[in-house]
Amino acid sequence: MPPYVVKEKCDGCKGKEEPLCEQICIGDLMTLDEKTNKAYCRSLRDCWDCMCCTKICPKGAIEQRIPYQLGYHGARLIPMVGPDSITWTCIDINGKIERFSFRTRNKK
Amino acid sequence: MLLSPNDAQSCLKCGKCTSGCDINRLDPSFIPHRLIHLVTMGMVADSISEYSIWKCSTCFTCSERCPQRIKVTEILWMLKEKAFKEGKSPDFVSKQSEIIKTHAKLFPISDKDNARRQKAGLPVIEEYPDGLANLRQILGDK
Amino acid sequence: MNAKPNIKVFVCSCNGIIENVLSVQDLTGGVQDAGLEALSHPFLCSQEGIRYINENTDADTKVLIAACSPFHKQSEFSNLRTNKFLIHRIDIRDQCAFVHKNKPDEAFKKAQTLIKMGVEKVRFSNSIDQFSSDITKTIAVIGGGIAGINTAIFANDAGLKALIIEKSPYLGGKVKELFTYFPRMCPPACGLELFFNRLRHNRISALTLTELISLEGNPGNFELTYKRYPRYIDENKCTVCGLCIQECPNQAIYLPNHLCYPSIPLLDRQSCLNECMRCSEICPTNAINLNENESFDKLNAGAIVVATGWDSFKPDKLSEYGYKVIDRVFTNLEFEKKIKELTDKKTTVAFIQCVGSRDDKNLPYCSDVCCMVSIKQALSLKTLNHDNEVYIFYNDIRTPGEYELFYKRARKEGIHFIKGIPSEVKETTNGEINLSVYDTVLNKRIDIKADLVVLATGMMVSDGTLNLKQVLDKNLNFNENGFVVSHLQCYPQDSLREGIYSAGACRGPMDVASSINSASSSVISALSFINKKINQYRDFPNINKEKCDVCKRCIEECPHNAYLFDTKGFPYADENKCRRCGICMGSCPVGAISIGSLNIEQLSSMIDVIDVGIFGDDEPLVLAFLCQNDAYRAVDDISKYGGNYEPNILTIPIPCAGAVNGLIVAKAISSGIDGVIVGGCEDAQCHFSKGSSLAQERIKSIRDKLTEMFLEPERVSFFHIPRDGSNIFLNQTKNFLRVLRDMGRNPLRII
Repeated sequence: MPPYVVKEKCDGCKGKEEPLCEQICIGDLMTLDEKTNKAYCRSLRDCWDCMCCTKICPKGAIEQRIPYQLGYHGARLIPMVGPDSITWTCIDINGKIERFSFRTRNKK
Repeated sequence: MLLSPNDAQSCLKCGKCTSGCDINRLDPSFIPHRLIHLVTMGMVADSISEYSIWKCSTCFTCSERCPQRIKVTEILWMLKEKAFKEGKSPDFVSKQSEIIKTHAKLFPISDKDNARRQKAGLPVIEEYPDGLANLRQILGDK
Repeated sequence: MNAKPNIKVFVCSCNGIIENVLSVQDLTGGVQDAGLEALSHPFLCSQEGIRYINENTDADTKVLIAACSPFHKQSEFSNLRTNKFLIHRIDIRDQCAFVHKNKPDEAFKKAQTLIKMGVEKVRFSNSIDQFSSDITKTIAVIGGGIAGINTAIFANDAGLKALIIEKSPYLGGKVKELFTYFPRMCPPACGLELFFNRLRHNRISALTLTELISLEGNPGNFELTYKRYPRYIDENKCTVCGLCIQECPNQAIYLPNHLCYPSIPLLDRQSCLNECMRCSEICPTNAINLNENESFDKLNAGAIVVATGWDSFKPDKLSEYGYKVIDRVFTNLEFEKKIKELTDKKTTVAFIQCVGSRDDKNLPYCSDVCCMVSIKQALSLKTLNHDNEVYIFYNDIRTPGEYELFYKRARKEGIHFIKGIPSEVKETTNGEINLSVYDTVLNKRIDIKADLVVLATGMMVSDGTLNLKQVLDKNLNFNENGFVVSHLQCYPQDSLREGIYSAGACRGPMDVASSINSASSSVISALSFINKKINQYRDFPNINKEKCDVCKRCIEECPHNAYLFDTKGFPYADENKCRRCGICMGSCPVGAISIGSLNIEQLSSMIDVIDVGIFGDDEPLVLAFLCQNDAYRAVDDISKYGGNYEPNILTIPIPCAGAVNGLIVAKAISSGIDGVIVGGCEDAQCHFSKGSSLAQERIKSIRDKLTEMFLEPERVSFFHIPRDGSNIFLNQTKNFLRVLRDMGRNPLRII
């Protein structure tokens, strides 16, 4: 399920060209709408759900749903990134919440 | 009411309104800055019982020249309106309003006037009943 | 594997005051258990204490001092031999031992945690060396009026070079046109001549007929481009012999004033009609070149003083006063010239005060000088002929301080002061000027016939200032009336940028005395800036290029426009523009930016060492990032008032609320800390203009994220804590902790 950009939160990374999601996307799918100055995914069906864009977005403006092979509607996976840590919040289709915190290999 | 006494609050008491007032020149009892000062002091009740508020000719010179943009004429208007509502207006005001209500004009044409007009070759002006009805409608009188 | 880190912890017992609540021995013992060296001293800020630290450290030792607030005793601790950036101070007194007196156990735990965090902070600190940059020891003064002249003189006296850039052909500005100075009633020529003599010094150069057209470079090394209008007469060659003045058939060459600087004649090219070239032929020194053109040139300056002065308000808009309609109605500045032409024939002169000033449609402010000017002119008229009748129509006479005595002198001289402003100036059919005014004291209308009417017009922003607005744009702050103002009460001479100052009436209406005062204050600021620039720390932001994604957010969010691109396309902060606020550090989505005194590594490892369950499994633990300009100091003050709060709050001072990175807050929540507070100034009071509002924006996105994660967004809060906001902090944290207790512990906390 492709990324969904919350237009109210996205600020186009202020720099006007190449927002962070565009730089991080392995498939080069995210890009900036020049008119609205908001990011969007230009080819939804090519997205692999790697969630890089969701993790990097400083405004928390990109949401991603879990693909149907893994969980049905209602299931969600939300990352929160720290300097050297990541916390995942997993919500299954019954609304059960589980959280995991990990150290990442990022230098602090 | 479009204005409130607060609109006069920035008055400098410089007297420029009175200096330029043509009514004051003829009748020294009409002192606009004094009335404005009464309003800023919250003494609206005192100001509306003054007869001099009715002397303003609404030429707007004071409003035009006030360095603090105080709408002097409009404030006097407000006072007059308040005075009328509280029944403190002089007799001529209610008489005038009666004349307007009955004739739809402040200066009704008398037969004498029409005779003079005929002499001068002008058409006779008649009472205009539709106008009266329209006016009543506007004023909300049943 | 790892060599033992060169970290030393010094714990102060503050003459037993800290010892009363916390056991210093146990604190040092705890640090020693962790394998670090810890020492204690009863009185670290004393001379022996400082010596004790110096004896036990060398220049590379990372020093942690656990004592009073880092904002106390700063001068004492500046005598340490270790590099300033390797020393970190944590507060176990004001924000621990004092405020948690009643709970010694918790206070001890808090102190222990603070020391652990402090150790991590010094572990990741780096020493930063000083450097000196080349400073052009020149002050460029824009405007050659009384303020500009005095700025140049003061700069010269202070040993700096000064360059005056003046648009008109001569120095002296408006003052040159004046008849007398108040209150001593002496001619300005006398004072100006002395000033001009002091200007003739080899460190001062005055460029007349020049205009600034662009500004480049940095504070300390500005590069100014200016346009030079043709003068046609060479300043260096002209000997003022006067031959050309006599020869010119059109009177196009003349000396406008007996007191000219530079003292050479003026050649008015517009009046020069027939191009007879007689002047250039007759000139014995060949100083005249009628074919001279405009030229452009550059100059360097370390600091700039803006002294573009004022213009007189033009009363054309106030048509009721008959200005330019009746030929005997003047403005006060015109009257300064007119008064010289008056004879001792008896005249009646009426002055109308507040023309254009204190007027919502024109100048909403009081122009400061007009009352004194009118009184001065009135007195001059009385000196000319004591029978002259002078009326001053006023609204309020404003003669502050000892100027009141001058006003009194005028009253004693028989000048009529009438409270009431005439509404119009009319010319009667027999040619007299009639003023009809309602005297608000007499409560009577009076009519006055006057021979001359003087409109006391105010001081407004000059064309020079308006032109400069386009050249200097973001460097200067203009208020709603167009005057150059930055921080009126505390730093009236400063602008938005270091190295640019203002003097004289471009700051607002002021008289000659205040202008000269303002000139000296601007020179003092410029001088201290130039001296400071010589020794500065290289503590401006450092960008980790391995992490940087070139998203340019830092460039956009920097409130001082300090960021530029280097040759490889990475951003870097211009050391001259950077004010070390750390807002870029907070803005970076990947945490690649660190500033000298604080970096992400430090904050991150400080969070790592916090034992979240220290006060009990169900007791909340709060981390408070407080702006060290206002909020942290307000919290410091709590102990002075004998207040107390719960020990569950761990405070960390930061340069600005805007320096808190979202990643750090996320990490704090992830590692089980129950609540995070960011404390900053009121939006309008932020010392770095945008920091506080940016911090709130970031907090809002984290709260959104928490909501999404089904965590309570209230766990992260922004508090406005002004400098005197100790009570605000107490109340807000009380509520905050209550809310946290109601919510229960952070689900991410591992027990």
